[in-house]
Amino acid sequence: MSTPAVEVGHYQEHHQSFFERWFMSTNHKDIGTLYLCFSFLMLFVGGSFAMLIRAELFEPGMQLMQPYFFNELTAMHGLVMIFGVIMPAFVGLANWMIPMQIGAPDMALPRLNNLSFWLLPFAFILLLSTFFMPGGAPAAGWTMYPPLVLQGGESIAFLIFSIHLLGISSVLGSINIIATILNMRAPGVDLMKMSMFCWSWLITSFLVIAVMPVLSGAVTMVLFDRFFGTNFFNAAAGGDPVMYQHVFWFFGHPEVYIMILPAFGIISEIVPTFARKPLFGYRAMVYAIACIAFLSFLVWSHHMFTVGLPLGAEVFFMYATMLIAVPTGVKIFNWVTTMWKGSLSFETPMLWAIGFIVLFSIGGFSGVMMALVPADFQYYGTYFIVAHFHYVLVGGALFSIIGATYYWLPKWSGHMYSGFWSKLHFWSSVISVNVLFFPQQFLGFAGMPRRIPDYNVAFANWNMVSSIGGFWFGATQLIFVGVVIHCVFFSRAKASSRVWEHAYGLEWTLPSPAPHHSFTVPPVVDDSQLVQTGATAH
Amino acid sequence: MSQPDDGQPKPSVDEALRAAERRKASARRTAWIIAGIAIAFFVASLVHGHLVGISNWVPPH
Ligand SMILES: [Cu+2]
Repeated sequence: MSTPAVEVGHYQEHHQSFFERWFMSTNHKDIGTLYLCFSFLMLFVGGSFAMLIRAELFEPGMQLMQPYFFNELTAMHGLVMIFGVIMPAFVGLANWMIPMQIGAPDMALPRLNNLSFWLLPFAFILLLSTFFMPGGAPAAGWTMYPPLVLQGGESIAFLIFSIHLLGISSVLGSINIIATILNMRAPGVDLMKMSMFCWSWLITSFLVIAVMPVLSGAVTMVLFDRFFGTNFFNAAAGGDPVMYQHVFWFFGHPEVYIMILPAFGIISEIVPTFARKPLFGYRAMVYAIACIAFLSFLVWSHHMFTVGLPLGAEVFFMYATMLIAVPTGVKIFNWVTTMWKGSLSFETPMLWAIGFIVLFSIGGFSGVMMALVPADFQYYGTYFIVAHFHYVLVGGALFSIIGATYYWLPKWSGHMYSGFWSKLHFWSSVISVNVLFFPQQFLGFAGMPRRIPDYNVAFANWNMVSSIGGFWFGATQLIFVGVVIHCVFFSRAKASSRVWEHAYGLEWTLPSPAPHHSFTVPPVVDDSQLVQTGATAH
Repeated sequence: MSQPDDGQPKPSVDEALRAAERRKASARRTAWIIAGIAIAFFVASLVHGHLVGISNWVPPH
């Protein structure tokens, strides 16, 4: 088919050197691959910190490291996993899938896209280099509360600069996603017929735009307090350390939705495919995401119930937080209802999606528990909190990213992966993740504080169980590496264009692997290709 | 290519180029507006810190 318009987007395809293709790339698929590979690498960096933490906590007493180094590990584990793994992985998925799902040739601003990615490696070189500096890496937790964070070494300047870079990177990435979705949709892809993954990312982008600059502002004030003699957070000079927590959590709570809304989008893609039914309540799903995003700006002080807020504020933030359970419940209900009486089949992506729904619900329930102010006085600063956010971030966000990889990998690579090994990966992960995090809830109830390298012997048994689960879960992820490498480089099983029998959406109209440039001419879209709307029940 | 061939007339090169240009210009406009919002949030967080700081400020002795 040689229509003249094909030439419009046809440039530089076949004569790119390795350097040009990967370092100078403006192609959304290549940049998506870079993001995904980078986050995969960082998963093992952050994961190795977690393994060291669990090794030290295997038994009471100090075995392996100095206490200060343990503190460095907990802080860096959080920073790497949040900013280096979960966020870049979702941006990588957005890069790959959004243009293909809306029938666009590429992202709206391809060179900006290149910049967004390449800020990341430099930011993390800065951040990780702090381990080798005199005074060590930042050790005051990923939340960087003053005054503690001001008492560390000079490496905090590197931490803050790397957070500035990460903030610029994710803001530019979000600008690109918004510009793409609002301007590049093919005729027929109306907003209310768009895939749930695109919807979730459109709304997430606005969260990023609103809160990453606020994090930058907060750490900028920390930088000035530490090096330039200001007293924003210095109580001795009339500053207010609690103000840092307000500004930080105004960022921090929407941040947790930045890490879970794209996961909601992914699950809403996978479940209808393997239930062989349109998504139940498409509009309700869109409104629920928008509602969660809006409420996320009104709940930040639930991270600060114990700092001495006025009673009225505590009550407001308690009810506002519990309110979020309503739209979240709508989503869980609609996924389950989509499966209800469907012709279910349990291919690998579906297993991860169901794993997500169960584990995320466990994490969500413990979230509602700690929203209760009086109860939170008991939970605050304990392993119960640690268990909660690992259920939503590992069982939730990470499971959805792995599920998305298994869902779209055949489309990316053109090959099928091993069903046996990918399912083994799932079952081993879903069992070990519970061995790892479920006992932490018991430890939290019993009062074990987070961020400590040593603990009372009363906590010994469950810590050992948790550590065993941790090593098991960590080792299991090596299966993932093997499955992906085998699929991309060695698999002989060719994938068809519509990889999954009942998969709908424009990406499945493209061949597998997806061509380097797709939709150089806007496709002619009719509703039957956009099953998400429920317009056509097959 | 990969698009479904529906037998409808295809746009000419000129038309397609113009449409692409229009989209690009519109995307740039969107990008600047959103960037403005991001910068506003950054400045607002600093102003907030500044104002809270000023109201509590104790002169150094
Ligand atoms: Cu929160």
